[in-house]
Amino acid sequence: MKFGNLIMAGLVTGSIYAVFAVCVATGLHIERAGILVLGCAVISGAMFALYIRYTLSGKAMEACGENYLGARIVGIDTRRYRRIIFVVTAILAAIFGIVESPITGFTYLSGATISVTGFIAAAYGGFQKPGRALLAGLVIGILEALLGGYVSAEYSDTLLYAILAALVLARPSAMGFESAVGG
Amino acid sequence: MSDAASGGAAPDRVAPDRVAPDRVAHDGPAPDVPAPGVPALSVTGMSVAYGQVVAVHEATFSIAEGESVAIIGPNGNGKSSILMGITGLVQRRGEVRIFGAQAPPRDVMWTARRGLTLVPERRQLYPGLSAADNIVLGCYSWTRSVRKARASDAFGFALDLFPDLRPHLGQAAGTLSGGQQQMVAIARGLASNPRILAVDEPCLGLAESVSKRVYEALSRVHAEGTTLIVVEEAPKRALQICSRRVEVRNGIAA
Repeated sequence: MKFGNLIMAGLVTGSIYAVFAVCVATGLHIERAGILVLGCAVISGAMFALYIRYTLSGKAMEACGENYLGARIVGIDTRRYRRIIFVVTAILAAIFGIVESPITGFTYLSGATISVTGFIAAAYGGFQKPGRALLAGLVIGILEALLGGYVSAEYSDTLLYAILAALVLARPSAMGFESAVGG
Repeated sequence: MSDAASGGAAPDRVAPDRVAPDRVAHDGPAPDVPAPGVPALSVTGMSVAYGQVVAVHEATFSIAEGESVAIIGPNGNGKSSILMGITGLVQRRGEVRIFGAQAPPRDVMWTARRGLTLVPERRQLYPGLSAADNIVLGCYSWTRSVRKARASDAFGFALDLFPDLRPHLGQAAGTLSGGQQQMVAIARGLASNPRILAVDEPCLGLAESVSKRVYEALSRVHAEGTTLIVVEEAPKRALQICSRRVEVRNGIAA
């Protein structure tokens, strides 16, 4: 087994056991399906991080996002990577649709809200920094759940977007939006 | 990047490899060995247009292997468009041959694998990636293995050429100074192990002392056997290292 695979296996197993340990110790009730979602997120996130960090193909994918022309100059087939990203994104959406459905309950319109939240998480994390985007997604998800549980289930999305917008306006540099807001 | 930083190959080890046609172990098929006397680059009746604006009109010239040529002319006269057309970055008409093989239009990958690498104007680096990753990606035209790329003579030669870059290899390319970014851009070009290196405005926006070092590096690259094409607005400096000039006026090369 390669070193990278070992790290990934360790990360995944460690994260799942950590979640179990916290739940048992604090008496928190977490759905088993929720742990499955978390496990899938950790696995896919770790796989993607390792792919980008340790393979030339992963670095080429990152280069396509950083500078399209610069990527073509070194001979990277940018159209091929666009296709790969499109297909992998669709596969990930399908996987998470399956594992999320026992908790959330899906309709044909569910994708819109999730896409908007996901896009905001990616924007907060920085489009070229997958690890930060994953973390931002986790924080936004927790915030959304807390708003839904303690403030208003009906207006949780609206409140969430209002808070995120206020944060961007108040602390653009801390949120990574300085150039966009400051012009 | 410690392995990259410490694994630089000595130039004398690199030299024999760099003039042979298949100097590196390509993952894909190696380029054909050209017949003796075939020009490194041959351009016949090449035109490049952006909509209704014709940037290059029927350019015809050839460059022998090992030659160093300066493409000179005033700003906005089509010098960079000639390189963009040759490399396939923009649509072109006419014929381009690299070591005798006809280059397909708009196929930058083919051009890079055939041995012609462009160091473009304004560098076109990946600002969020480290300097080392920028240079390693230059190897993409001949391998998909990071390990092979970092162990290659081409990568070692690129780092040896710019020892000042070594302390900054882990730094994001976008945070480097203009001179360091230009060095990374040239090093990335060299990591592709080119037989023809085309450099577009290598000293644009650089201080005199940095420009001098960039030209010293290009001179060394040429001395190692690489065919060199330099696009410059000011011919004086380019002609110090180039033996021939191609003048471009209003899109016409002479």
